[in-house]
Amino acid sequence: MNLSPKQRDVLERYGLAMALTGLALLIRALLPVPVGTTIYQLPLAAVVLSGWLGGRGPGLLATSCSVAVLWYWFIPPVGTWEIAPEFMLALCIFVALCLLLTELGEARWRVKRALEASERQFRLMAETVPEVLFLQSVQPAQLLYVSPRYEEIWGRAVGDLKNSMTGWLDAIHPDDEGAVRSTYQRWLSGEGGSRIDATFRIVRPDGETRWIRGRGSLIRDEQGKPYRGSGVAADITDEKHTQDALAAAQAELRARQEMLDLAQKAARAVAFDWHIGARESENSWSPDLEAMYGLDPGAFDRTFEGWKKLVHPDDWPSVKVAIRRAQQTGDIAAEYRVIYKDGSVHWLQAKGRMFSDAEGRPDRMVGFMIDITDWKHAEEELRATEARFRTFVDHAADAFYLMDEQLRIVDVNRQACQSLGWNREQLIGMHPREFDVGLDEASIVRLAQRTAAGEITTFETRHRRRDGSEFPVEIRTATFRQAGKLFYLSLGRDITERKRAEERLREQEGALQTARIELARVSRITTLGELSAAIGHEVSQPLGAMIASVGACTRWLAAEPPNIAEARAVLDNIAADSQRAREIIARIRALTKRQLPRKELLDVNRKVRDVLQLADHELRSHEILLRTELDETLPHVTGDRVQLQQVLLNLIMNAIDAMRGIGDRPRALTIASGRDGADSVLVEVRDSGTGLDPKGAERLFEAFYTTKAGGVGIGLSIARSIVEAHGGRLWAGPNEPHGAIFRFSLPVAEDEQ
Amino acid sequence: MTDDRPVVFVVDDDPSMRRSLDSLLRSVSLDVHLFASAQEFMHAERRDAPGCLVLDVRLPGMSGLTFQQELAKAGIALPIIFISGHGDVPMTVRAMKAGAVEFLTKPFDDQVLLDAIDAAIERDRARRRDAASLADLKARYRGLTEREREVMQLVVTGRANKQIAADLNLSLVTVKVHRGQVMRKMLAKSVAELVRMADRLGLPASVQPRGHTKV
Repeated sequence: MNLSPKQRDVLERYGLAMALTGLALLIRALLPVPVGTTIYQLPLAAVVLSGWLGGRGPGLLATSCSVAVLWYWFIPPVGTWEIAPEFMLALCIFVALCLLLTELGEARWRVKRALEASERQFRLMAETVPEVLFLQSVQPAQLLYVSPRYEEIWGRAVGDLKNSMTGWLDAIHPDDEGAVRSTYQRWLSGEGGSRIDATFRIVRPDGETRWIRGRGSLIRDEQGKPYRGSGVAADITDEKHTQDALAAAQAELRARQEMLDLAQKAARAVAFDWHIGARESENSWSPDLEAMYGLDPGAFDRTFEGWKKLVHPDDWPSVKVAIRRAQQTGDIAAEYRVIYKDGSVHWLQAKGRMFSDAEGRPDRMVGFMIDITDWKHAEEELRATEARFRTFVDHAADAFYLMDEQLRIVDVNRQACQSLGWNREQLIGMHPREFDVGLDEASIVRLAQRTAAGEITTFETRHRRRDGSEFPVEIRTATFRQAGKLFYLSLGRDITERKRAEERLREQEGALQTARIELARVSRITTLGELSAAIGHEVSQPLGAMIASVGACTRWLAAEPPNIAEARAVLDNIAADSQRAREIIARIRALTKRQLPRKELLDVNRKVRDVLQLADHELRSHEILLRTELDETLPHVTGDRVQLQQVLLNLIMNAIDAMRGIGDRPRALTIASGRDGADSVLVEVRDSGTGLDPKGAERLFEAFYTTKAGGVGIGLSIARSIVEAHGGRLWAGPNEPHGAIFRFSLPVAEDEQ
Repeated sequence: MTDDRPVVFVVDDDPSMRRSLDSLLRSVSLDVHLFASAQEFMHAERRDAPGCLVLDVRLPGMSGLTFQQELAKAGIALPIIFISGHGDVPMTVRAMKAGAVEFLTKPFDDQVLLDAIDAAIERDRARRRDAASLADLKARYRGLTEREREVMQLVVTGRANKQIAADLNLSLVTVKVHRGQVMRKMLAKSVAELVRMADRLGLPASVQPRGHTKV
């Protein structure tokens, strides 16, 4: 059964009255007390309760029911509607009493109803206003009421505040908390007046910050002591933001205004708003604008015709074009000259919008005028400078490439176009990889990085012309910054001629080198020849004398009779001559001893490299595959630089000679260095040549032994004597599978052992 | 007494070489004269006998080759045997061209030197004989009269007597007489011999007949 609250209320109240009355009468009926005046007590109580709880209606219902039942069943004669006169008074008093009490109940009930309604309205209000309402006691400080809006704004449960009066303070933003707490405490103490008004931030559990404005006032008791505090707390986050935005917008507006003023001043720009033909339009031609045209204030007649006269006749055609365009597009953009009264010519630039009337005639023009005379002059100056610079750059012998940060060509000079065969428009936008065939992408990037790091890079590469032909270039690249952007400037020089010259030089040097080696060889042989001739002459002298003496002696002894005296004299001569020969040999030995190696610390590997460099041309011209296996940790040896070089050169030249006729296998020469025990350094020269003749191997190091057609046969013997003079050894053995190995060892320098 | 024993001059700056050569040459009975330098040789008094000069190419002050030229200039026609510590081909050629007999390189075999010396002495002897007969011839030529020399000159150039008579504007008989005198004085047995003699004397092989024609 659906009942409205009101119906239920009525039903409950009247039901309660009926029930109470019934119950009272039933109890009285069942009581073993004789019927008398006592019958009124219980029904009266029921009536009083009904009236108290239910108001007048139920009270009256209870009264009527009680009277009816009492009259019929309790008042004699029982069971009839008749009444004994002696009971009449009592009944009347009962009725009167019931009515009175009912009225009293009604009055209380009304007050209660009104209170309830008022409270309902308060709650309704408190719960619907967007602010948080609160009421608190001061002593002890305890929250009495907080409207549910609290939960919404603070993001916390109202229940949490039951125990802690200051719980709401915990949510306050740390920056504001101190100030709010002290203000709040002062307010509660009543010292700072009754009112409080504080704006602060809170931090919700979800992290959101809100701006709160709390206002409240104190209620004081009779002694004037603070007794209750109440107030509202409003979420003013949105207002705050709006305010901030507004303030920012205002500041922005102010700044813009200032900037505009500044810009206008700096650019010497003057705004115009010209209602064409509206002579009376006072604000359309300001004195500033007139000054810009070189006019005195108010001198302009403000007609289109008048304005036309101000424009330089030469510029009028272009202005007309600009006007036509403005009529079509609405955009004004024109540059023209005006001639001042003093004869000076000024360039003006107009930018703005044009509005036309219904017939399409220009009606109003709004925009800015700028005197660009100085700019024009600067521009002309710049153009002239640029033209000069371009002429200069175009006539440079080197090709210029200006590239942006992505290495895209931004500009080139004429030389660049000529050297590559593309025109300037084609080259602009190209990347070096499109014509550089000497460098791969990675190398280009690496070079660009090095250049960007501030290095001026110089490198050689090859460029490909449009027709596909290539030429060598030397590129020098540097970077510079302009307007915050990085640019690469590359200068390319065609080095075809230089390369050719270098090649020629190299060839000449090669020939020179060969000649030098040949000369060294020849001079060695010649020196040896002269030396042996000198030795021969020296020795032949006593030897010749001795032979002659022996001949003489023989003859003196063969004579008849033998001439012993002469023979003896001759023998004395022979003895003297042989003594002389011995002295000569001793002298030569002393001579060679004096040429003993100069002692210096030598790096064997370095010597090897030096010699290979000397023999480079020979190696290349004989197509010999060179390999080095050098132990870089070798200690130094002591010895004569030139002599060791001679030994190495000799072994290498021998190896080259030995491989001269080899065609069926690679001509491989390997130079290896390493340690030979703790105190020796070993050098090996391995070839893949004809190898050693086992029979000749033992005689290899003898002087004047040779297997070569044009050889003298002293190289190896000299080499061996040099090595042995250094305290080392030189020996040979077969190489596998072909050729020979020559090895020599040298003692490690003493202080390096 | 005239000593016809061959003489050998040794010019060598090396004393031991000089000593050895001295002993060697003496052992074969040669008359040996030793000199340490070219100057010493030039200033010494030399015995006139067939001989030769043994010369070291390298001499102090003057090289052997220069010395050879000096000797030729001085009219000393001794055959020269060069000995050298080291002979090279150009030097040898120069020496031989200038008239050296032999060019020996030290150390040379003693017998080779002795053979060379023998050969040189023999050559000198021949030269000397040659020189002696020329001197004799010159003396005979000097014994001719002016006219006889003219006739001899024309005879050796192959002119007949008549032509000579015409050339010299003489009678045929006079020419014949002069011719007989020439043949006798010059000890020439035939015209051919006379021609050889004229050749040795260095007379002109032909004369211009007109030069002697009297107008």
